[in-house]
Amino acid sequence: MSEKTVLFVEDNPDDVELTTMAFKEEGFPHKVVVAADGQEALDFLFAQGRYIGRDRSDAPVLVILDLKMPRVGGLEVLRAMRADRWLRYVIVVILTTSDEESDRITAEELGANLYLKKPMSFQELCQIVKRIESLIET
Amino acid sequence: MLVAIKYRLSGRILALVSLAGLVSLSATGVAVFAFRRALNSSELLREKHAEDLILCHELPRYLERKLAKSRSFLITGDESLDREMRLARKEFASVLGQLLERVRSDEGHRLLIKIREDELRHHDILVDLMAKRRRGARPRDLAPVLTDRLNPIRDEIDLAIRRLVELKEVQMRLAGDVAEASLSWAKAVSAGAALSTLLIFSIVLWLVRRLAAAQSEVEHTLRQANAELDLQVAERTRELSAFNRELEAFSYSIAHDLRTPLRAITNYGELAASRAQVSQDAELKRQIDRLRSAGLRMSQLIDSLLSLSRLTRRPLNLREIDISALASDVGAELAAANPSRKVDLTVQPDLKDIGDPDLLRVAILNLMDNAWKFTAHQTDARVEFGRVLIDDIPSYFVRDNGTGFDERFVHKLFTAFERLHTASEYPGTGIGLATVERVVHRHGGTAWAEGRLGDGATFYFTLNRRVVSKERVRLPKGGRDV
Repeated sequence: MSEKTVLFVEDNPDDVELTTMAFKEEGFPHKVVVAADGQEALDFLFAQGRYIGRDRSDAPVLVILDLKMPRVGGLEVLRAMRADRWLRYVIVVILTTSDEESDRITAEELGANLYLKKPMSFQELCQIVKRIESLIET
Repeated sequence: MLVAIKYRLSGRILALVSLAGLVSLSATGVAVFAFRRALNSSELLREKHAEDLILCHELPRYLERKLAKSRSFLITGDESLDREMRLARKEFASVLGQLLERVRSDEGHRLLIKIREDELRHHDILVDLMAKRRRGARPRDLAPVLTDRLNPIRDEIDLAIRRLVELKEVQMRLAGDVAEASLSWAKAVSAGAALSTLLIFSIVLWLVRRLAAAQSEVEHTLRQANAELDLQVAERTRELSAFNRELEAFSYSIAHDLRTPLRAITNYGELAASRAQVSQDAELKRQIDRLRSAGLRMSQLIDSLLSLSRLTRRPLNLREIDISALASDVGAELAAANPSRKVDLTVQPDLKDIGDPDLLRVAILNLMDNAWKFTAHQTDARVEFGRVLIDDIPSYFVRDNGTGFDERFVHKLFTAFERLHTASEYPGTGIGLATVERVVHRHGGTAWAEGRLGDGATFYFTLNRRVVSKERVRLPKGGRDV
């Protein structure tokens, strides 16, 4: 309970590996759970499917959310989260390839806390991790 | 084609028939006039003959009176009777005189002369008898002269008068016949004229309708052809737009999707480079650097492609722009980005136009960035921005006195990714001018360039002036197929 959990929703294995390396590089102190797509994320958050039995009240402190995922996308997860009275206060950081203005606006409307584009450089990725950490600390 | 001939022919026939109608109408008018004149004169003649006839009837009356008076005188010897007799004779002579003047025919004249001569003889005898009476002759003795000598003359006169009357009656009838004939002719001609006019009128009407029908047929064919053409054009345009949109969406999504693996390349490249740095393996480091540099190039290309694609996707936001200000801003931006360079920029003032400010900024930036770039080896670099009239169309230009380009490759200039210089000569993705062309085309204009190796280049573009001409179909020369 004292250890905070961060849910990292990302379908691209390269991005998962790179971000995990960035976490390591920055000495990220929290537990990171990786969900490979939107459905897995929902299963985790709502303690269903493969995560039946998990304590729902043990909500993650922050969710790093990719938008473009097969079957269930990031915005759908966000919508589901904000509709739930436990999850609506979880910090959501969108980390996506999309530069569509419409996605950014919808994410904002749905209550995302931060909207970031996936960077081309590892250094920038580390900066993002730092930012996420500071968000959790506050 | 047939329609055209019918149209032209109908027109000619119409003219001809109208002319015929006019001619017949005038001829009719003349004929009717002539007949009316004939009618009038024959009626006048008839009246004259009637009057002559009346006079003819008066002749025997006066003669009778004269005879009666003289006979009475022979019996009574009353001188007043003599006077009355002479009066009656005077009347007779006057009427005869009138008739002689009026009657023109030879036969009539001859009869009247005979009547006069006979009357003269008659009168002489009568006068002689009356003289005898005055001298004292007895009426009884004079009576036989009356009977023997005067009566036969009297009979002859009566005969002559009767003949004259007959003659007059015949003449009158003749004149009447002529009048009637003229009248009937006039009626016939009028009826004929009316009929033929009606006929001609209906023919004209029919022709006019034919003409109108032919004309409307021509128009209909033309309209149909044009409508078909419009339909085809619209169809083609739709197909083209749809195709373009698909292509845009496709190239956008490809460019976008390429970024994902590219991200892996650049990130891992970065990580590998730091490891290579640490490993002290110089060759490894060099190879990884080459890898990263290739990745960077790819990244630049994809970014260019994406921005080019984005440009053509978003809707045009047209408004009034101060082009001079825009060009000056871009110039200032370039000067600030290249502080080591000294470029003399001239911007023509007071240039205003209607366009999308963001797109035009990109276009002008690309052009002027090129100008900056290709004057890099020039000691006195000069860039000029302005507007001139070319073939009456306002055309903007960016001119530089830089390295120019080989005119032979001018057609490659605006093609995406085609470059006329190697990266070592001048940097660039080769997408700048393609972007300019896209922007300019979206404004309905065109872009082109002039240049010479070593003598600078001028890039022109127009806005809002693309002429779209739809060729209207004229009647085809052969067949009905358009």
